[in-house]
Amino acid sequence: MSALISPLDEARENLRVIRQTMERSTQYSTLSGWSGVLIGLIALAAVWATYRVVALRHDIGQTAPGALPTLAGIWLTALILAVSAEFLCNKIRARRVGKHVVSRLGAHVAIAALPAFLGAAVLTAFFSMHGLALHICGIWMLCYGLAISAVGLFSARPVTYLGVAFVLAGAVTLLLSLSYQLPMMAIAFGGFHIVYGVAIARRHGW
Amino acid sequence: MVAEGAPSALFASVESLDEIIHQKVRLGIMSALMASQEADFRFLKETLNVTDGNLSIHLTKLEDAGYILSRKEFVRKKPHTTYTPTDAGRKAFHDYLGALERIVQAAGQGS
Repeated sequence: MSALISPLDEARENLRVIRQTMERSTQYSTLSGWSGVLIGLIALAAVWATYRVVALRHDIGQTAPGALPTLAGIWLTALILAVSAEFLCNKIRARRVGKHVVSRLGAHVAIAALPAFLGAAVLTAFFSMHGLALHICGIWMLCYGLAISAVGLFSARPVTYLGVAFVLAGAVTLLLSLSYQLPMMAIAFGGFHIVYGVAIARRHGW
Repeated sequence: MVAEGAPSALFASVESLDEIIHQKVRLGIMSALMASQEADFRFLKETLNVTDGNLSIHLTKLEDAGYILSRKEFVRKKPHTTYTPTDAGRKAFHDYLGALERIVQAAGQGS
């Protein structure tokens, strides 16, 4: 015998179904584990390039006005490669789970991340104009962390954790001396992404 | 104590519930499409945890009611159907949500 359900209970239950389904559907479910690992490897290559091209020629610091444009060039290239890797991996993943990577939700994700990237570009230009390269690694980590945290609002929890980890790493890097800047870039942009990629792969698949 | 007019408001709200949306699977489909704006059959099936046949029946009902639109294409020679909510579907969903909220409010006033 089935129990009678009052209109109130049914309304509450339907509101719960709506909320739960909308939350599940809003998650950016095209995340790919491979993209995290690839981005981490690209970042490690960028750290190596920075060491070879910049750190051996200049100090990454206040006394090296020529260092920052080179540093920015290497990492802008890394960013373009990383975004391309992310897009391609997510496109493959999206096809596998039956979604489009270029969707209205994808556009929201890109728009959410944009202000932090613009902030990083403006700060890089400002630091470059004043010949202050010392703190740029920490600033980039902070801005990247803010961008990822914003993306995390539309996505799975590991994305938010990644964003917070970058913000914390950025804050710590700002307090550290010159010799720790590149190792921190390797740990954050390389290590964090690889750990994140493996976490995503275990949760959502490669 | 029962507030004056609360039972009639509750009755009116229950009566105003859209019968097309007022079904678990169809409500799930509309909620998913309202959130993601666009989804394909496989995504809806995985999100709602329903069988192909069950999902097909309810998608057809929503499409017949003019609440969703389907777009069929071929991806790697395989049929691929994508669904989007129509303006009528969006309005019906918001109206349904409003009716549910009025039921909760009316029941709260009546208790």
